[in-house]
Amino acid sequence: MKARSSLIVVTFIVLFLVFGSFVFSVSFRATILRVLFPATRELIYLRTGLPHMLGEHLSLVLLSSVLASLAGFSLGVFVTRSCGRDFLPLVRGLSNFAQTFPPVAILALAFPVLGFGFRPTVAALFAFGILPVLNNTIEGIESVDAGLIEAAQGQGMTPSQVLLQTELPLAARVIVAGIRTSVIINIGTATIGATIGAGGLGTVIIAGLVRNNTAFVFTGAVTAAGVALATDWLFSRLEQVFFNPQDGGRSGHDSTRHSS
Amino acid sequence: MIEFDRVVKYYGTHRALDGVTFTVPDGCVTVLIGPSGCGKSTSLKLVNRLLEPDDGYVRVDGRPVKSFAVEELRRGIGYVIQSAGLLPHMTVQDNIGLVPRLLGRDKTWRRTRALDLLELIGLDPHSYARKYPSQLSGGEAQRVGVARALAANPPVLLMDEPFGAVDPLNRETLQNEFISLQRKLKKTVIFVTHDLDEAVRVADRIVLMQDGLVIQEAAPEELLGHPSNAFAREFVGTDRALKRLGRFSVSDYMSQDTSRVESEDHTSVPASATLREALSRILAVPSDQIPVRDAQNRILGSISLEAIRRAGYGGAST
Amino acid sequence: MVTDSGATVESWLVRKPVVFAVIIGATGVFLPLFTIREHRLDGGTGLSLLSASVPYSVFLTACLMVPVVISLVRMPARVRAGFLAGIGSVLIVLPWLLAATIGSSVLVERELGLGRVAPAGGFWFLILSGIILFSEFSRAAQGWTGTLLVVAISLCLFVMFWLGLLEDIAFIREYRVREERFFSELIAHLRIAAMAVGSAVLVGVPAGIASYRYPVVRKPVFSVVSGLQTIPSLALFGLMIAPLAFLSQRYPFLRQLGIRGIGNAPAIIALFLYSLLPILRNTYTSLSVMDPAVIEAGKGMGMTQKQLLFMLEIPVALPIILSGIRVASVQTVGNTTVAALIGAGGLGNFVFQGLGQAAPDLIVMGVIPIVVLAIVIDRVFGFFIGRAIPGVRTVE
Ligand SMILES: Nc1ncnc2c1ncn2[C@@H]1O[C@H](COP(=O)(O)OP(=O)(O)OP(=O)(O)O)[C@@H](O)[C@H]1O
Ligand SMILES: [Mg+2]
Repeated sequence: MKARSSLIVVTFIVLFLVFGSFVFSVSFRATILRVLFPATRELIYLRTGLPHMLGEHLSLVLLSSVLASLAGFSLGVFVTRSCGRDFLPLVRGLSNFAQTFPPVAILALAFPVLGFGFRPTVAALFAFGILPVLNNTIEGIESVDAGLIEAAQGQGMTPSQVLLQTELPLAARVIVAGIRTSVIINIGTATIGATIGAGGLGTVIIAGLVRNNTAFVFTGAVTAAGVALATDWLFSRLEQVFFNPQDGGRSGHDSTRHSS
Repeated sequence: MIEFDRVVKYYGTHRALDGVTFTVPDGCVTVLIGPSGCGKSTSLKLVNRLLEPDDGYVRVDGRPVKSFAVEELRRGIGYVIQSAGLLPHMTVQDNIGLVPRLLGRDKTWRRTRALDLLELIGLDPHSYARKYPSQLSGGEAQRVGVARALAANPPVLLMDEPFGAVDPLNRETLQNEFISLQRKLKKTVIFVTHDLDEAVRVADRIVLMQDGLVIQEAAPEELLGHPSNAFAREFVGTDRALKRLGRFSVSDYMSQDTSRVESEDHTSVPASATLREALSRILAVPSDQIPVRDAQNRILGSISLEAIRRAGYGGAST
Repeated sequence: MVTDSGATVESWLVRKPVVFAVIIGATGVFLPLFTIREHRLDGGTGLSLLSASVPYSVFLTACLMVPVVISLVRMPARVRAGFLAGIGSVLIVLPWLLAATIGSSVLVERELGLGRVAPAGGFWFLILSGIILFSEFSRAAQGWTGTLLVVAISLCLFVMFWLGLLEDIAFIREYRVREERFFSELIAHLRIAAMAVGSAVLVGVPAGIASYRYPVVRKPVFSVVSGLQTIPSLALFGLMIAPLAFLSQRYPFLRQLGIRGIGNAPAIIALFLYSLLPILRNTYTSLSVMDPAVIEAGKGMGMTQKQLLFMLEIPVALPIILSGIRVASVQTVGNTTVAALIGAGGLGNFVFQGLGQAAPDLIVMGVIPIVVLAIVIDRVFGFFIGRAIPGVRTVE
């Protein structure tokens, strides 16, 4: 068992190093691409550096996901308070409805409304990214046993104490699962953001598609996939560290997850 | 006839049955009873081969169950379990018709059979046939479970705590219905329970088990009268004499003499009741005997404290 | 307040969502309703309802007041819900009518023969307020009211379209110029999505059953499939190109089958890989939630392994598996859009062509049918999951 887990650790370190070198060392990347695509002459996309595109990508995702998580979370908490209860069915219905919208559709609509560039993309990612967080916040809070809340109130907790000390801790796992879904979707949609001029890793993929250069496509695709997988893995570690794995999986809560 | 012959069953290293031997005569209700985990359900599942023994034999009509094709064996044995186990996506009617369907019976036959059986178990066929299991109460689901087991008219029924999940009042109704049903149908039944009162009520024979062993195999009166060891004595409890009276019918011990009975007496007992009930009623009146009436409320005779005492003592000494 | 019977009279209270819908609708009255463009790449000028037509503004404002008034009048809750849902439907249809009347007349007035009316903020806000009212109240209304209203809305829009009243709307213009291609791309879109989801069902369901039956298989299958789902769609499409190009060069018969590095083949494969997770996961879940007592009862009655699978396990599992297919289908219809970037067919071609030409109307023309498809597919599955399999209605 121990030997196996250390083997996994070593594998991860190696993968991480290879991935890092691929992104940050042009010569390493060129070597790999030359082996894979011997027929291609132009292996390295020179217009923008890969680390730069990665940076753009991460800032797109980070900015939109932080904003979306805050908004989704606040809205979710609001509609589960007594003052916002009236909106619960409405928000739930609209958000379920909106989740059938493909993220790419929202991204594409950002252009007619807001134009080209970084900010419209952030806006689109933000808009769609709200939904999983919102849904899971509502679901997480709603699934807290009503008896527990009553017990908390019975001990004389104020509404905000009930929220902070009973509801949110119990809903945290589901909410984090929603954030995870939201971030992964945003990483994917941000890749397509290149088509509305947002920069990011999609840039080199699109350039490769336009110029029929498979090496470019591969460069961008591998990097984007690596970012997504690493982020997902980070989240799963986070969930393992912070939440007891015994109290149920998150699988039930992201069944309407889109990827893009 | 079903025989258990030195049956041994392991779960991993845990020995659930440790050489179990007993016989289940035809046309009788044999109750397996014992504390939780003693191997009752395990024994039952060996009969329809949901489990296979590690040693020893289970025989049905002299043939080892191993020699039957497993599905055929099971289709010839009705099986009722505690939570009914009705298939959630089928109507009551289709649930009941399931085994006949497996046996290749046609649709109209199955439908008629389902309606007949619903009638038999006391559920209105027309309002229940098309319901889904999720629309039934626990007791209703349990009855449907029994109906389903009876559908293919199997000679043998296995019932694993069939009334375990039902509230006490309904349980008694179900038990009584089961008893009168069994009087009509004369199936060979193995009935698992850990409720001694239930066992005493429905059993023709009782097999008392403990830790994978048979402690005593006897008629209920015998078990209550002569528990064979300390465990059995403790299991049947200190009120075993009282329980035993539950086995005897008033009609067998009453006197035909109606002259000594004041017809105005309010307290009486039906002839179909048990001596235990009769005793309970006598203890509530100042006299030491009460009238016995029939179903039409006519006085048939009387039952006395003395007769009950003699029955209890006499039974115990035989 | 609102009870099941609907007979009780609601208290005199304007509910918050009503206020919310009215505010959104009122905002719509003040925002530009349309952008009037001289040609398809023109930035255009905004046209708000107030500046265009006073009578219509009054009518719309009246429409928006009705929900408030209705909320104040005493009446059975069901009837009120029906009224409010009805007003919502009017608000959904009205903007189109405005486009057909006000919009078109402005074009005539300004002598813009080739001009077009592009729906703008106000247009969408009015529709949104209608949707809010509708979704809030259609369920509480009498039996079939909601369904009838949906039919009525669709019918109204279709008739307007059919009578040629909507021709001046910008994206309808875009549609008219490429009507034939529109249908071929629509078919291509559906075909790609259907092939991907279809093959994902063929693989995902057995894989789910196998993961349930053989616990050893479970972990590797699940990690690979959920890893695939994590990869951005464009990246997954991109990763398909190189190996497929290589294979088709190596084996000519593949090329004859139409398998190349770009085009439909890599798209279908990537979309197939994407659809696996929801189907696999729901199949697995559906089997693992099965009550063991029911299985034991089935076995005890003498069902063979095959009968257990087909008469018990699959029927009970079907609604859950169907939900997985539903998620996969909705998701795939969206992702097929992206596949246009690697040369596959489908409605994504309009969207990305629109983005390439900076032609907003073309983008909208591409996006609308994609969204409608996603919603329709979602609803159709919802309908079948809810109705077709009675008895088991618990799992969503
Ligand atoms: N599938 C199994 N795996 C391992 N051990 C089992 C299994 N089923 C039963 N056992 C064990 O075998 C013993 C006998 O179990 P069995 O189910 O026959 O008991 P029982 O008499 O029916 O009890 P109860 O009245 O609680 O139903 C118990 O100790 C139980 O823990
Ligand atoms: Mg048991």
